[in-house]
Formats: sequence, structure tokens, C-alpha cells
Amino acid sequence: MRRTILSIFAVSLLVQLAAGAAFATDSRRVVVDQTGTEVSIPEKVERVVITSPWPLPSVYVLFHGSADKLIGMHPASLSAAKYSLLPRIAPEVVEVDSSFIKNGEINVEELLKMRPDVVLYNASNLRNKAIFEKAGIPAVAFSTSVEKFNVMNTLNSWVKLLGEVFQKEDSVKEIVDYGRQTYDAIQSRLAGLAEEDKPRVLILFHYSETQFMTSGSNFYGQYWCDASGAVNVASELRGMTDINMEQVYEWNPDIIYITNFSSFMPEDLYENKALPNHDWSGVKAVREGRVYKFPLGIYRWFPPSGDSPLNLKFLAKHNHPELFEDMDLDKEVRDYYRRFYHMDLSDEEVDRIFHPVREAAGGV
Amino acid sequence: MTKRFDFRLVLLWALVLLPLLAGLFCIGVGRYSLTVGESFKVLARALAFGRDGVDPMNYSVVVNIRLPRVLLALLCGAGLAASGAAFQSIFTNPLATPDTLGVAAGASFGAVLALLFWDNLLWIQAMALVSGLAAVSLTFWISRSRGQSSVLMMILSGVVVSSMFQAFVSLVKYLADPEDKLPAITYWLLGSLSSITYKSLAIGAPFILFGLAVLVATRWKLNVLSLSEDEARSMGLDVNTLRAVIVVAATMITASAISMCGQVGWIGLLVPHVARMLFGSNNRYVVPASISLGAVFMLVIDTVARSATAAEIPVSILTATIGAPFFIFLLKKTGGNRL
Repeated sequence: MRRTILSIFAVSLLVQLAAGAAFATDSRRVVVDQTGTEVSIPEKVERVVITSPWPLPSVYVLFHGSADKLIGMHPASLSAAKYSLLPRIAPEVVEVDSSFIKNGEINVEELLKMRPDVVLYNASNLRNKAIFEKAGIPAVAFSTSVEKFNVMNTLNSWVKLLGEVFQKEDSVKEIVDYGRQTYDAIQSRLAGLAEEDKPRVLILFHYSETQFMTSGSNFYGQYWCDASGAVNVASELRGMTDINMEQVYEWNPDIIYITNFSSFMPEDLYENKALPNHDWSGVKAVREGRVYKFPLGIYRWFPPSGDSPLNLKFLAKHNHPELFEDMDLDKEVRDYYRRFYHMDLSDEEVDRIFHPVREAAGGV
Repeated sequence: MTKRFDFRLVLLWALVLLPLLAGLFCIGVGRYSLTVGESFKVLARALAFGRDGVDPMNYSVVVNIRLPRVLLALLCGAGLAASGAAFQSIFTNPLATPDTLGVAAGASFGAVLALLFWDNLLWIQAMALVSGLAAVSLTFWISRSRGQSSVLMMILSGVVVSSMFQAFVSLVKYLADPEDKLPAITYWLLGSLSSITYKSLAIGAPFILFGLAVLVATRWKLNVLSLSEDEARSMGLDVNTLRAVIVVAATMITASAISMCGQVGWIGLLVPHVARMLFGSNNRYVVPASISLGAVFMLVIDTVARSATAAEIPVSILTATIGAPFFIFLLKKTGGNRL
């Protein structure tokens, strides 16, 4: 019995080695990823696995207009997709396999069985990098911290790298240009704004019974505040950090944005029923009714995603309603989705983007 | 340091007042701009007239945020230090603490197991107590050979039992639902006093207070227990019962402290040694001094954790970074003689 198992195992190993050798004989090309590593990938990429960063599948869909060729992704990307518009744009997304990752660990043999041409992964995940190297799968690293967490440029750099992997330069230009124009238009309107005219913003990044975290500088929250004419109250802190209620009172922010990594909603703060020992009633943003939830379209809008240019518009309008009075967010979203995702949004879908459900914070 | 008796009594009285004064002072310290004097006024008015007549923001900060946290820090610090002192004398082992005997790991396991099934703090307390007792009994049983248990044997068995229960904790984490239970467990193990409410304080505090009362009441007999067993018996003490009572009391304190503020190490080892440096090894003084110094130490640490930077610093990190160097200093200074 044991011998049979052993021989089966040996044969399967040989088959895999042969398969690996077969890969190697195809014509190949070199792509430089975001760690500066030169990765040799097959000439034609037909089978893609995205293990991380979680928003990358949404950018993939922005880039391709569909989830074509995507054969595997992280369970967290899949559960995020469930509450997003991703399945509406690319119905095949819910069929994508995520069973090769359990409890955040990649089962390398399951991954090999999928026979991916290339794996896309988060540059900071060195453990995964080692796994891919051992398995001999070409792996292209995507960085989440481009230019000190500049969201728009992170998105642009991801799109460019996807363009190199798939040799589709034409769609890259359109997306990157749109993002640049959006950014520049908003900056020119905000130009000359005095520091005291900028609202003081608190971003509730993780907020639950067990976590109370904001985004300091050197993280996406700082970028969003800087790019949309606001002051990040937590800019003295770095990255994502724990805070406490007393510090919030001291900051007394004008506006609070809650990300989709928290299941709390603005009304929880207005009605003061978020947490038993957190009294929000005295905080300025709550008193003045300026607590907002980050929208959620093709992915959560706080990290870089296929919808990042739209988030810039959303934040600018909420920080400076008088400056952006002429901006119709519903229309902007509709146009963007029609142009890049080739879909017409219903009224209900637009509403769902700006009023995401609590459950969308699951799996974080 | 003179060894005159009356001088020590004065010092002991000072120790009673110290936590109270420190507590009042720390209510005036924090990120929100209130001077110590203003905070004190807010507290006084709030106690006298309730919410009315106090600025709601100030009321929130002083009464709802700082006060419960200060009380919790005082309680847990006092409890952990006193149970450290008690364990050290009944096992006649200077290194016996809730951490080294496996009580902390055992209680943690009980608590995370309870977290897996219920959200009820009382269950968490009960499970932590039972599991902590199981751990300490196991440690004691392993270390005994021929009726004796050497310091070395006890530390070794403590290490084994600790790592075993730590492994059980990891197992529970592995089995926990990553989306809803795991973050709660992870956060709880880190140890933070920021999520304390009066409600959870009301459930946890009686256990600590009762345990402390037992330790204070039996502190005279602790001296006898630290003699050899035959000597203690010849003085007419029921050694086994007494030992059991004290172990249960100290474990109850530890379990309760852990269930309210997670795993905070070092206090049970460090504070009793400081107390012994000040008062010699007579438990009549060591236990109350440990209670007082432990309360103040934890209060200072937690006040730093919540006010030093705009970000909240995990308490366990601070106790270790302050505790370890201080302990090294003690070791070098005394050459281990006083330990």
C-alpha cells in the first residue's frame, strides 16, 4: 500500500517537473516588477492568479474590462467582490477559484495544480515570494506603497505593470490619463486655499469592538486628505495606528470618514450607539452631521482600486461642497462605469455605491 | 535604609496614600487639554451633582474615559503584584509568579476558549479561573518529587506548562473564525485597558478585591508557609488547606486581571522584589507594599500608554521594556542575594 502511494507520488512529481520543463521551452520575455526584479514570463499569458494585494483584481477588471484569464485569487478579494459591483461587470469573477489559500496560507501544490502562467502578489509579502520561487512559478510583485502611499500613482503604476504583463499598452494610456486629469482639475480648484479653510478630517480606518485605528501620515489616509483639500488630524502619527477616544475629543475633527473596513455607519455615530464606552455626541463632525462612509464600487474606495479617481471627486465634494457645487457625483460615476467597465448603472446601483452595506466590512 | 520598626510603619502609611494620590493625579493626565486642577474640579462636581453643571465633553473625558481606566489599572496592578508575592512565598521560590507558574497562560487559554463560545464576561472569568488553577496545579504536581519541590524543578515545570497552554491558545486561534472571533481573541491577548467599561469593571473587580482581601488576611501565615513543611506543621498550621486557599485566591486575581486587560507580564515578578528590597522579606509588609507599589506601577505604565503619544501604546510592550532592564539592574546590584 505504502509503495503504491509512494510511486504515485513520484510519478506525479515527475509529471510536474516535466510540465515545468515544458514551460521553460516556450518563448519567454522579461518584465521588471515593482521590486526591480526581472521576471521571466511566457510570451502569451493565459492563466493568471492574484494572491494579493486584495484590491488588485478590481484594477485587473478596470484594465481588461472583464475578469478574463483570471483563474485564482485570495478569499478576501472574493468576499470583497461579493458586496461590490465586480460581479455585475464580470460575472465570471464569482467562479474564480480561491480554495488554494486557507487561513492566509498558500497551499503550493494546489497552486501548482492550477498551472498558472504568472502569479501577481504584494511586493511586501516576502514569504509568498519564497513560495513562488521554490515552485518555479513566475511571480510579478505589485507595490502598495508607491511614493509614500500616493493612491493615484499607485493605481497608475499597477495599470502600467499590467500593461507590460499583458502587452496591452493602449488601455493603459486611457486610464492613466483620466486619473491624471481628474487629479489636476481638482488641484487647480483647491489652489490658493488657505490652511484655515481646510476641514480637519479624521479617518476611521478600522473601528470595531476590538479595533480603533486611524490613518496617520505615510498611509493612504494622508494622501486622500492632501489631495482633496483637507487636514488629516492624525498626520503626526505614522501609518495605521491605534487611537483612543480622548485623543479624538482633543482633535475634535470637522469631518469623519468611515472606511469600508469598519461595519459602523454614520448613523451609529449620530445616534451614539457605536460602542458602549465611546460617547460621540460631543464631537464636532457628529454635532454638525458631517460623518460620511467611504463609497464602495468595484472595490472599497479607501485603498487604491479601479475606482480611485472617483473617490478623489467624492472627497473633494464633501470637503468643499461650495467649491464643487457643479460636480454631479452620480453622473461622474455613471460616465466612468460606462467608459471603463462598459456597463450602465441603474439608479439603485449608483445608490448602493454611495451607501454600502455594513456586511462589506467582513473578512478584514 | 534604617531597619527601625516605626519608620517602616510610617512608610507603610505612605504606601496606603500613594496609590490614592497617584490615581487622583493621573485622572488629570491625558491627551485632552484639561489641567490637573480642572480635571479634579470636573470629577468633584460630577460626583456631587452628576452630569448637570459639567461641560459634557469634560464629563465624558474624566468620568467615562479616564476614571474607569485609572481604577482598572490600580486594581490590576495591585492584584498582579500581590499574587506574585503570594506565589513566591508559598512556593518558597523567588521566581514564582503568575507568568512563570503557567497561571497566566492557563488563564489565557480558559479565556480565549470562552471567547470562542460566548461573549459574556462572567463566563470568560470563570473559565480563566478554572483553567488557571488547572495550570498551577499541574506545575506544582510535576515539580514535586519525594514531597519536595526545588526552585529549579518548579521553574522548569512552569516553563513546560506555560508553553503547553500557549500552544492550546494558538490552537484555539487556529480554530477560531478568522472573520469574527479571531480579531477579538488577538486583540484581547495583546492586553489593553482602553476598552474597559464600568459594566465589565463591576464584574471583574469583586474577584480581585476578594482575592486581595484573602491575601492580606493570610499574610501573617505566609511567613510560616515559607518555612519547610515540617516546621510549619509543628506550629499547628494546616499547611495544605492554607496553601490551597492562597493559590485559589492568587489565581482568581490573575485570571480576573487577565480577563479585563489581557496578558500583562512582569508586574508579578518585579514589584514584590522591589517591596522586599524596601522592607526585607517579612510578608507582613511585603504583601501590602506589593499591593501599593503594583497599583502605582501599573497606573503609571497605563497613563504613559494612553497619553505619551497620540497613538495608543499596548501596555504589555511597556511593562516588558521597563520591567526587563529594571530586573537586570536588580540582579546585578544584589548579585541575586535578595532574590
